[in-house]
Amino acid sequence: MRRLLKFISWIERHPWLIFGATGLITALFLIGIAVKGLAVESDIINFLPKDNPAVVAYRQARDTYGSSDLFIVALKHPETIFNTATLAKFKELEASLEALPGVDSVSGPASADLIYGTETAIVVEEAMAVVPQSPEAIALYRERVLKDRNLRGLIVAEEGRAGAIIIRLLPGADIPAMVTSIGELAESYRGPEQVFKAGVEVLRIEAGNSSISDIQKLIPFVFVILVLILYLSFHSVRGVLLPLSVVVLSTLWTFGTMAFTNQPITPFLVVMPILLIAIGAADGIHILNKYYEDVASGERDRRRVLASTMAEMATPVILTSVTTAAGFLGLLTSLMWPQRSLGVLSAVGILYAMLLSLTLVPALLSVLPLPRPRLRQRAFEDAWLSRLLGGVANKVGRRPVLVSVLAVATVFLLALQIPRLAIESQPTKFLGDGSEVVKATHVIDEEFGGSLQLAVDVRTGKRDGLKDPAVLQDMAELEAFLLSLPHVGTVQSLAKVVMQLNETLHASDPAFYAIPDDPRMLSQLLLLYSGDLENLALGDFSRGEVVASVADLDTSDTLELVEEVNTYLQENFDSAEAELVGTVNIIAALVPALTSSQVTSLAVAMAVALLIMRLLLRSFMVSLISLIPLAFAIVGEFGIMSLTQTPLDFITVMLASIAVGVGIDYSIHFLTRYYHEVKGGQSASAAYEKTARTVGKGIVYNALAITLSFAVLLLSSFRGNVNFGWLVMLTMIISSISALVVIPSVLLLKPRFMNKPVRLPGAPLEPSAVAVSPTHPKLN
Amino acid sequence: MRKALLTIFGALLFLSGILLATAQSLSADEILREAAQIGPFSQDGGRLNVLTFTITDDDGTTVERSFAAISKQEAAQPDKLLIYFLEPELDRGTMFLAIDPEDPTEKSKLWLYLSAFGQVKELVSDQDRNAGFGGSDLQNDQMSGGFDLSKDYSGQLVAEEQLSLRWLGQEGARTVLKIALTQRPGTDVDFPTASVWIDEETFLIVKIAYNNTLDQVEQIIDMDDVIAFEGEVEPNVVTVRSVLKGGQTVITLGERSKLDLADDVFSPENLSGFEPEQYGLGI
Repeated sequence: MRRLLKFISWIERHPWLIFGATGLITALFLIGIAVKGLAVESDIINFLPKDNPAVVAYRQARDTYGSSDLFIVALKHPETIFNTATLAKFKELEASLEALPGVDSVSGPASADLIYGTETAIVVEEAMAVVPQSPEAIALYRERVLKDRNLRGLIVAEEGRAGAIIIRLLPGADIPAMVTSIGELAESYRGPEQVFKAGVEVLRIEAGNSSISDIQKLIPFVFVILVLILYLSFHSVRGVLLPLSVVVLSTLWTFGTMAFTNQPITPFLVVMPILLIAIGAADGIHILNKYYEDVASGERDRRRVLASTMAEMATPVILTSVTTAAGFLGLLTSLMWPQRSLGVLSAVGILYAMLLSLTLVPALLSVLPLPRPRLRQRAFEDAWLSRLLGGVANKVGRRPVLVSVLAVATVFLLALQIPRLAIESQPTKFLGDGSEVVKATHVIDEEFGGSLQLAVDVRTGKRDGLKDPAVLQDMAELEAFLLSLPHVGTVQSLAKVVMQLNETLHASDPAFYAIPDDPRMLSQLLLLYSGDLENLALGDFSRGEVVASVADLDTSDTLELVEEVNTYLQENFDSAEAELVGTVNIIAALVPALTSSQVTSLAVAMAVALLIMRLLLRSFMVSLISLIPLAFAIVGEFGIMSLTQTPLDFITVMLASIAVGVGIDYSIHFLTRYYHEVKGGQSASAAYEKTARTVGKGIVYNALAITLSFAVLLLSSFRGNVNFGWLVMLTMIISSISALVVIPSVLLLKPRFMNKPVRLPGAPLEPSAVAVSPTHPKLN
Repeated sequence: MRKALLTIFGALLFLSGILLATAQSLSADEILREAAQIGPFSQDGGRLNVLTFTITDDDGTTVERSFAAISKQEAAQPDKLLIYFLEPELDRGTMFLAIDPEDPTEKSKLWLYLSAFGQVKELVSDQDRNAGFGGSDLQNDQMSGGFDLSKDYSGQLVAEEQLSLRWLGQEGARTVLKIALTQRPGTDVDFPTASVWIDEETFLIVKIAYNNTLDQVEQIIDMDDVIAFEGEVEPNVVTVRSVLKGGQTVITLGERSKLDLADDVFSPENLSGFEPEQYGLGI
């Protein structure tokens, strides 16, 4: 501590060196950003934990079968697509899409293959060679397409309200450019039909674009809010500019660190600048709060004011920054790497803010003249907020038992709600309802049987193993079972292909929609197949997938579905190995992983916070009491999430770590000043009141700054971030109130252990004039 | 000295101009038409080829298929091709029949006989023409129509190049003419542009590279090994590579012979009665 204060004293004597060093580091980071740039990564599947068995199975299947770049454009008519105008649109749009460079194939209500057999031929023709003009021709077209198993429910909705165009892109196509050009082309056909676009690439690009636009949109808002709060707090330009300079530079340095370490921007990282701006300002707020308090005491020696301010604030600034960073580092136990990245970068950013608060702020204060004291000490403490907080402290101080009981009862009631907390592990739920992809997902769910994929990977282990009638029969029965389940829309498999080919070969006689017994027949039927089997079978027919489309489910239904399918496979599929893979499986597998991740990150963050407070305060029980705001905030947050049916998902799972990291600050600031007052001879209640009037203001301003800063997340494109925003606001409110009301009410209960002397964090080197309260007995 | 050098240089230019003119005395389209007459399925008369396809899929799996290709070409008559599936055993006896009319405006007719079912079906489909033959990287159209590129493409002579080939048992460089191909209006092809390399001396097509709509090379066909058969050169090994997707098919032309073939061999009604032993297919 002495060394730190010596260093600060050195800074006061050499401020221009600090300015130079700061400028140099800033320039370095700016160059890094300009030269290396910041990449964007928004493939949600790539965010998933690589060692999770469901994710491993999914990736292996994808590597085995390959993934094709698929894009879906759907047109939905308010009544029916079976009218000349809409069908003509499909015809024209599909032709235009086919003509786009980069498009490999297009299959839609006009261009899809209609396959049927006659006595002498197998005919493959375009579903709509000419646009039907008459009602009879439209009815005939409708009957043909809805009778076709490959078109009904996949290309043309069963209810006839929508049609889907499946577009495959050439390998090496410029995906973002294709997404844009296809999107623009499709949009030109809007009205009265609605146009929807879906596909993995659409999702990825939308998530990426939304990440960038969110950052660009939200950061200015946060700055405006911060400026307003700082001005309202300090009513001075330096009161605004000093904390602002800390947050601007620390945020810039953090983005520079991202550039140098090749960390991309992800949808999770949208909250980071807001975190840094809101939390990074806290140090500056507390330092300036103390600075103005010292000025109000009447001291006019700039160096003594600065020395007194930094002597008292250096340790709490370091402690709060370290504990906040430690809280963020709790995210290192998170499931997804972008969350871990957020944790590390936020921790780094907070430490940058700490460094700047301890160097740049005193350097700037040392060159600026002392402000005229607007308020004397007594007036400082008598300002309206101080009076309010003092009044609250007075009332709480008289009824500590009641307040403690009320607080515990409230938390208890909220805790009872926690078992009903929903868990949402579907990554696309992170997007908002305004998202184009989400809208398209709803249409695909309603009209085409589902947007999620449930796949069973069937492995025979030998060439032509899938041509075994027993295996195909098992696949056919699996298909029938899946179709019997609620939420399952359509199913594709090699068995279905074979049955269709057999039917077609026999002049489209439905009696032949069956698996032949003879492997020769099976093999030869497949020679008729003109398309690419893709993931339905490998080239050597040793392995293939049964793929079902599934409508959007909540997590409990997903878990049930997965359980049912797994049970079926164990009990019924014995001709080959069959394993559940696909996105539905991943969603189900991530539920327990999400829960355990939450518990782990929370436990780690709390343990670190407790350890730090234990080292700080040397009293285990007082350390526990310091965690009250965190515990109340976390229980309150989960309880309210449960009451409002806000699920625990990949974003809200990070809340607990952030709550710990930030909430501990209030405890540190409160307890530091409280024990300082007690050591100065104040009674417990007087110390409480003094603390409330002084540091309490800083806590309130801090909480206000963070709360209002996170309010901007309510404007985010991502639903996950919107939920995150209001939950952080709630957490800050609960933490700050707990720090100002609940901690002191417990302390005022005066348990025996409270009477033991408690080590204070960093007592000042010399008693400062401003450390003596105007109400101190020696002054009266 | 300077004047002498200029004279020699001018003479060389003149001579190479003459040589070039000789090689290029035919237009690109004419060269393509000449090339269409060269190759195992392009010669007049009947013949038998046993083909082995080693197909490596883009998923890394490999399968082997073998076929007997029986063809007949006559002036002013449709070209006929009958493929008899030899291996794998499950597909043995299946037959693919293609009759390519003289009139280029008419489409080929295709039939498939599935021996396990004893049924012959005509394949009435444009899509099927472009599908892979027997799961290979070679399209049905390419199999049935050979490489008569002049039907669907117009050509432009680009350059004379040297290409390394195994030619009549010897590795070496052959002089080839490179022709850039552009899809003719009104035709239906998968690849709008392509390049073809034709042996200058024999007009044998030795390489084709097909481009997709992004002007990326999507498929390459190489004649890796050229042999002589009854006074004509023809490929012995052909490799078809799907460059972007990653699969390839290696076609080895094994046993070959000229045959006298009656037209009714190529009749869809007679497919079920086809006797492979008659052609020494050793079943």
